[in-house]
Amino acid sequence: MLALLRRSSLRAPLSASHALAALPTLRRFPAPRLLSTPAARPSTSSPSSRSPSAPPHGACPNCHAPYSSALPICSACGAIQPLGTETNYFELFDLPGEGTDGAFDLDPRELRGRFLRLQRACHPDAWGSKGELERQRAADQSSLLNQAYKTLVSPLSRAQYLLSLNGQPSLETDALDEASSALLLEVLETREALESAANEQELEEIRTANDARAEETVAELSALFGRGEWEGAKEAAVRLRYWQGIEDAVKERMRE
Amino acid sequence: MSAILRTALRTSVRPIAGPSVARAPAVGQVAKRAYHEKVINHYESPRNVGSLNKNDPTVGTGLVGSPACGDVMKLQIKVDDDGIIQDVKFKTFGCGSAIASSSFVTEHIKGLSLEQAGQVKNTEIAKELSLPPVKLHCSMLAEDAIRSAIRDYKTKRTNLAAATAAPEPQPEVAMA
Repeated sequence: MLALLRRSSLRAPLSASHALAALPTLRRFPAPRLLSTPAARPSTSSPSSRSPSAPPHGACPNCHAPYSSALPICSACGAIQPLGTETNYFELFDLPGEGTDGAFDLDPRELRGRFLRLQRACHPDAWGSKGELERQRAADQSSLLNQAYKTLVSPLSRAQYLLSLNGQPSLETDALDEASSALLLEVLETREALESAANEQELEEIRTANDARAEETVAELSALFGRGEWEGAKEAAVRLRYWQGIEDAVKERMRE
Repeated sequence: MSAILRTALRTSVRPIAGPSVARAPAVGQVAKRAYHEKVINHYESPRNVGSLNKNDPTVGTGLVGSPACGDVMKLQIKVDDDGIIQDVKFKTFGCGSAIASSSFVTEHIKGLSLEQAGQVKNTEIAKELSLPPVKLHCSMLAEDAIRSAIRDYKTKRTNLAAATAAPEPQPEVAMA
């Protein structure tokens, strides 16, 4: 299965990063990242770069009160600072984000709770009466927060985000060929069965089987991330992407 | 059990707060994404959809996938004794550009020799269909599918030749 993500024939050399150098070849387009997962880079302000006595989220430059969350909104003086768009999504929610520390296994309810709390602080409605600059900063934070929540809440995009943080981004130009024919055949046969499914019950059967596959893959991903096996995790994420595609196709057919 | 496993794929994302994207003026939203009419034509009435018997020794099957889109593409060629592609069928589950790309190549390589078909470049496909840059990988997938089908056909022929050569004694051997 190591060859799963083998890129097909080398068409032009790319500047190979260390992470990609181990893989046989690369395709030619420096394409945008997979799905809605934005280009992610570890936050430049890692907690370790601060002195031990410094507040975990930094302090307000205006009144020097420590921030109570990762959002640069001061609860003491009400000042709001811009939030870097490269903010690490896990740090935003005060969650472990290394991968080997259980980052993948987050509790969606806990995530939602934190999301709602943070969103209350930066929601545009709460800043409607403030100045244009403040309103804009709050709107930007709210938007980034939505993006971060959306990315982390689903196992697929969460896995892809973790992989991109660890030098294994999903590229639009990744390709599968004979080396992963078992997976491709399973996907093809399922899609064909889906196409010819005659009634709701058959659709539900396909969906249930697909859910089981997805659950299995998510469990695998959890184990692989826990061991820091990034390449294995990337392969598993590809499988999950295909199961997601089947789920989307089932829903599409159920709407008909 | 099922409640847990369903969360894997069925997470509904309902951002509850402010605009997640800057609102575009209403006029901008009306403008449709412009795909070239050839893409739409191939997508709406794809050519050569179907399957050939994959166990037929004259049929080569290519199976490739693009994980970014969750696409899977099967392309089959039927080759005559002169190495000319007589028939082509495809099945693609994926986006419109992937379907259009595979539909287009089935028409394009029918009647070509294996060698000519193996030289089809994704850039030709992309140009012919005027694919936008973000969809270039769909044309690559179609190119990969052709190559994969040719490889499968050649492997079959080689295996077949080996299988028939071994058990069947040569006439002179039989005489001896």
